[in-house]
Amino acid sequence: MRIPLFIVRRALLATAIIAAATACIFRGVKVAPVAHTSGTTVLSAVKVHLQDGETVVFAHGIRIDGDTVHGAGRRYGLTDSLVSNGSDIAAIPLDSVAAMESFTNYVSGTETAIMTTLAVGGTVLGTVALFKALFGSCPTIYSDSAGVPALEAEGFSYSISPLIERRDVHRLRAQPDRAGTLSLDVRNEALETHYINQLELLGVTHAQDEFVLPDAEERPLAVGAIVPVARAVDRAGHDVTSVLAENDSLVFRSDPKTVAGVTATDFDDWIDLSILVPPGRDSVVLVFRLRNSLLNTVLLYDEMLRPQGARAVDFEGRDLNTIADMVTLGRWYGSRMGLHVPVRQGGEWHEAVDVPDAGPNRQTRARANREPLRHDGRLRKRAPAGRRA
Amino acid sequence: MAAARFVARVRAATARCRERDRAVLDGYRPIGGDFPGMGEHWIDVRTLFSGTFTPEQPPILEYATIDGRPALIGVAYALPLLPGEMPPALPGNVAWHSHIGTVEDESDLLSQAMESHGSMRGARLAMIHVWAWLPNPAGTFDADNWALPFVRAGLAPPATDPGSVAGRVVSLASGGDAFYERAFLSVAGATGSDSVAVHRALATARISAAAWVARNRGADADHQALEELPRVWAVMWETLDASLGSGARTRLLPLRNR
Repeated sequence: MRIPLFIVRRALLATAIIAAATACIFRGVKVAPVAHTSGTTVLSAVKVHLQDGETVVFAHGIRIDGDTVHGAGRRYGLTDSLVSNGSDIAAIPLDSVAAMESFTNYVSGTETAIMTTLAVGGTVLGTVALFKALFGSCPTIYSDSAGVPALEAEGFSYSISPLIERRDVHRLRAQPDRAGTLSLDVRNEALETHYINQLELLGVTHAQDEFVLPDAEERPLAVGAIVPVARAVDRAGHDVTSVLAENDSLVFRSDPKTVAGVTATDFDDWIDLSILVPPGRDSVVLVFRLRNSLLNTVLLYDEMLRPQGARAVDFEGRDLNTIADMVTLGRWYGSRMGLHVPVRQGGEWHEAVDVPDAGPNRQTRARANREPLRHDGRLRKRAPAGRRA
Repeated sequence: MAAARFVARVRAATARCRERDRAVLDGYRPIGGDFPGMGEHWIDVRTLFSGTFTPEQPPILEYATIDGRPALIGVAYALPLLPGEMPPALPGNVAWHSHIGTVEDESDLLSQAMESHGSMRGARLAMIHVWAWLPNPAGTFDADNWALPFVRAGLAPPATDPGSVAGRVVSLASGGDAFYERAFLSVAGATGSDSVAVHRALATARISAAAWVARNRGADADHQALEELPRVWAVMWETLDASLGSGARTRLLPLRNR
């Protein structure tokens, strides 16, 4: 395993400030589960979560006939990008479906007056358009893939409040064209109010057999000679080595007993990783391919904002900008969320590094951490119980 | 001596950030405004919430635009503390101060006059400044560095602490007038003729400050020259007294008495 050096070449692409927009009509999106029964017809957009972790979006609705879901859909992989082996799909077996949700736009006269005031206040809790409800509510970045826009990243992973906003680095898969031009498209798809302070393209020079990831401190890191972990065992004692060995559709998920046993003071799951350390090496880079379980998103929108109703705007605009409140929230968040990687040393686990959780809006992420090696080569990856890739 | 060693460690660790672009790459970004006696605060939130105090990794860097370029002038350490927690002791038992309100509240003159260095008991951000790159004649760990306005105005930094009033007056000649106008308008709740009065008083003081800077450029401002500056500040307040409505005048009293 190579401990890389990296050279960063920076090019300022653009700095944009998108002026505040006011909304006079409140548009909302109703999300409802769809029954798995034959004869069901939905005329609005439907998002189908498959058992293998992928999703299929039927923008114009579905019809269930017998054991098959019919419609004009597009299939997205674990990283929310279109799957390469045929993204267009017309039918899927019902037994491959984990859950289905329908999305319906609506306009509320009652909330129109409220939201007019709130939008003038400059909050980001404005209108949420249908497409963004399917994938999130932040600025998205697309590349041009042979004339077809390919979703590359979603920004604002750490931006629930200006006080704690942070740098947000995403790995792009797009390559420059023959002329050396890389075309990216930054979209505000939900017509929200977004303030983008800085937008940069980082170019990283690396060897041909390496690839580049953002590390735990959001700095680019070139890694190569990746080897799978020797053994991986989850909290419930299951050997999950084969699940984690390859970048495939197999997804680790917390054991149902672990999830059922969650309490307010103990909601962690973990995976113990054993690594065969090449001789003579004094550190190791851990490379994770992760998909956020959206626990953070649910916590922010459904548990923290929704119960507050209109006061949620004060919470976002005032409370989260109060230093004492942010200290309290930030300390709780940092201690309970994210990935914590302790290292086994002398028979005991010692906290080595924290990968801060991917923020409430993070969808997908690859992560890398440099770890000092210990002679028994064992590490534990601890995170709130839920599904992870 | 221990303080000098501490500052040397800070300088060695942050030398790479003298180029502000490097700090941006390391995750720092600006927060709050540009303060006449402190410059801009650039924060790395990840380091802030890392739960550790490491002299080599300050969560805040302080920059000021000098000669048209951003210059690293110091650093600040900030620790998010919960009730009952205390910050670590620093060399020379330097005192931490704390922030609890919004950035805006904690930034204007009124809050600094009345509540800065607030309670050390509740949830708060404990903070200490270290003027590692622009020496502070009032002390390396003092919150305000009133040598900064002199340097910004193209003058040699004074050998002894010029004091806050002299520093504020000199700052008027290098952008500080906009800072104080915002602060005065905010605290006074000034509108209409009151806001015009605030603008005129500060503009007049700025002219006097610029003239003083021009007279002293190229030579160290001596004690006698520094003594001229409080008069500029006093005249500005007299002008405000004569032109502001009673409500705005009353609300500005706490600032005047600083």
